[in-house]
Amino acid sequence: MRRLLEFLESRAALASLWRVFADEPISTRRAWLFTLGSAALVALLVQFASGFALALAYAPTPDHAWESVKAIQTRLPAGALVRGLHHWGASAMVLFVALHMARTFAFGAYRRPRELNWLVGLALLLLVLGFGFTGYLLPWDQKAYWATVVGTKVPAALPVVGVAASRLMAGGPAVGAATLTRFYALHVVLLPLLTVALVFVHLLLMRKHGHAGPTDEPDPREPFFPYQAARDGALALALGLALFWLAARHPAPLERLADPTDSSYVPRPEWYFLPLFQLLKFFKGPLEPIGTAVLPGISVLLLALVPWLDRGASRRPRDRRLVLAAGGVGAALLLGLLYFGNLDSPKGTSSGLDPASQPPPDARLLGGLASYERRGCASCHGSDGRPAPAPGPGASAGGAALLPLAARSHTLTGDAATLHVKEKSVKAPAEDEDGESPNKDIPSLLAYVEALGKYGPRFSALPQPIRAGGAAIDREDCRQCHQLYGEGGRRGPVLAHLLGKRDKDWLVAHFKEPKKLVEGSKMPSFKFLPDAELSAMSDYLLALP
Amino acid sequence: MTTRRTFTFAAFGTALAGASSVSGAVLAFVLGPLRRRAAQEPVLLDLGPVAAFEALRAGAMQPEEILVERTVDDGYMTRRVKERFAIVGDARAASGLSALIMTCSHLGCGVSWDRGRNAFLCPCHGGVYGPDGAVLAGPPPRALSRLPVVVVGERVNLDTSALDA
Repeated sequence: MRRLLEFLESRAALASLWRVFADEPISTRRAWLFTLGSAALVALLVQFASGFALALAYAPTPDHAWESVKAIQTRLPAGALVRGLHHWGASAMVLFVALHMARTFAFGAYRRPRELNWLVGLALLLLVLGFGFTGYLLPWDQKAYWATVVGTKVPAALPVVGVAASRLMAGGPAVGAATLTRFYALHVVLLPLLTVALVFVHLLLMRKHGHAGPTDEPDPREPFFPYQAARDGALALALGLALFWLAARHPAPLERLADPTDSSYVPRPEWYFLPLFQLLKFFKGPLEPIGTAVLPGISVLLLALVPWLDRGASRRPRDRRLVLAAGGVGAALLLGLLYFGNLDSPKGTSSGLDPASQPPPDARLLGGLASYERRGCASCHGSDGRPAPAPGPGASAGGAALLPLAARSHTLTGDAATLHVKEKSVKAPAEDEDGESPNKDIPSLLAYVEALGKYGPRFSALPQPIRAGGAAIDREDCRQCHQLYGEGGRRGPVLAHLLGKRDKDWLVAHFKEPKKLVEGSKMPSFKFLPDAELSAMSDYLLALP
Repeated sequence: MTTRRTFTFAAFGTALAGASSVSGAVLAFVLGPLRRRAAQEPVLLDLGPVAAFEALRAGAMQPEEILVERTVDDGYMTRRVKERFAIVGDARAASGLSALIMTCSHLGCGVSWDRGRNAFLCPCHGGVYGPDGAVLAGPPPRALSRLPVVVVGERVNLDTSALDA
């Protein structure tokens, strides 16, 4: 070990490098406030690692982008976790870069000789926002598409260069395939390269001029290692835990596949673009460029000029009252725009996975759920397998709890369960017109009850079309001929991956007249079903992974 | 001029020339989308018989919303896209009709016709357009864009050649 270290020292001066790095004298005052920059760096590393993983499975084309993100989110191992880390890591980046900048501003650390490093930091902030904007489009869901339509139209209102800038961003007259490849190339090639280069310069300049400390008076110092390193590490650990918790508890959202014909969709930007979005609302008609370009441009310019605008002798807060007040007003305006932008946002769909984008449960379970409801099982067992407590001593006791599994002390199985269902059904189904057994739904019902015991009631949150469509697919025995989730006959095509290949109109028309649309099809017509049900069945099929 | 200085100039000059040729090639590629396609022949899409649009030509106020499916060049691929247009009466057009592109002139969100308010509404920032596409309220800087509608024989056709320019 010792000889290895000696070898590395003699060939690469590694030990000396480490000493230079570790012995940097750091001010001991307000030491925690000096961990913000390293937290931003940690978030950046999380973004690089998780972004690399995502790029392995992502396809930047309108035909496959959404599907590949959906596969990452729902099927690939640890996919939802990695995507969650990337999603929340982006917010962490913006947050810590902004806090780091606010701290630098408050302490006046941009003063001579550190003006250049302030500019590099400002450029890094813009790069981070560029990452946010370009990364936004990649999932190609409704939010991605419409936010980018708006985002690429924003420069169009500028005089002279506006339309050209808008075309360059979109890679053509409208948001489409070329936009996706452009944003992808920026997001994974150009911006990371620039960021790495600037972070390197940022750190180099920081070391060249030394640690600024909270004031310019002489202050007690200690070496970076181990004191400040421990604080940095503690914050990094907290940040990492927070990101994992967020990724696990609040999965990154994925809305419906982008639909350019949808005129009802109201795009909402990510929180860090909300102030800008809110600004757009104040400037109308010919004044619009004021909100989209002039004010943001002036803000960035002012920030860039800060080291030359504030050049007093002392960095003490009481000698910089005007500058601090101006910064405070700026921050308050920004936060105010953020606050009001957030107030205006519609609630509900803005976070979490769109229910329609999660793979729907097996049609059999939905069929079982429908028959659970139809047969009135809920009147004894409760609507979700948890019977209500008996209302009074005189009232008849409810049925056994079906949930959770542990509560099912006397599980009914097989014939006994079938008998129980036949005997106890509140509304026994009548004989079918075409002579089918009225009890052919019982296997599905039992499968549903078993799933209820195992996983709990998680079907009630599903959108109605998915529930109704799945139930109809189970009832109509589509599995006689089609494979669904790996089970069923092989006479017809497998029911999977339909999205992108078929649309809803086609499926409904096909249900009605299969032979008309597919030559030589052996599938019977389902014309006799109500249109609403055919449409729900199509919704279910399109949602299948 | 010393030999050393000549060499330095030559070396830097060569490097600069090399770097700018590569950058130039890349820049030309990156700026490619700025080039517009040359004006084309009319691209006509059949919307149906003239009789179906008689009310609009006679001055009815309710626009006729149509969904058109067509093939567009989209970057490196062609795609079938569905687009919505509103057919409105237009006394200035020879056909008595023209088509409004249902994309808000503000920031490109899709507008939709509201029967109750007799106006096109944009959901994003509250733009309102009248039945003829003129701005009534909100941030839009311009009226809704139009496409020509022509009558060929007894059929009404939408000319989409102005799109995707």
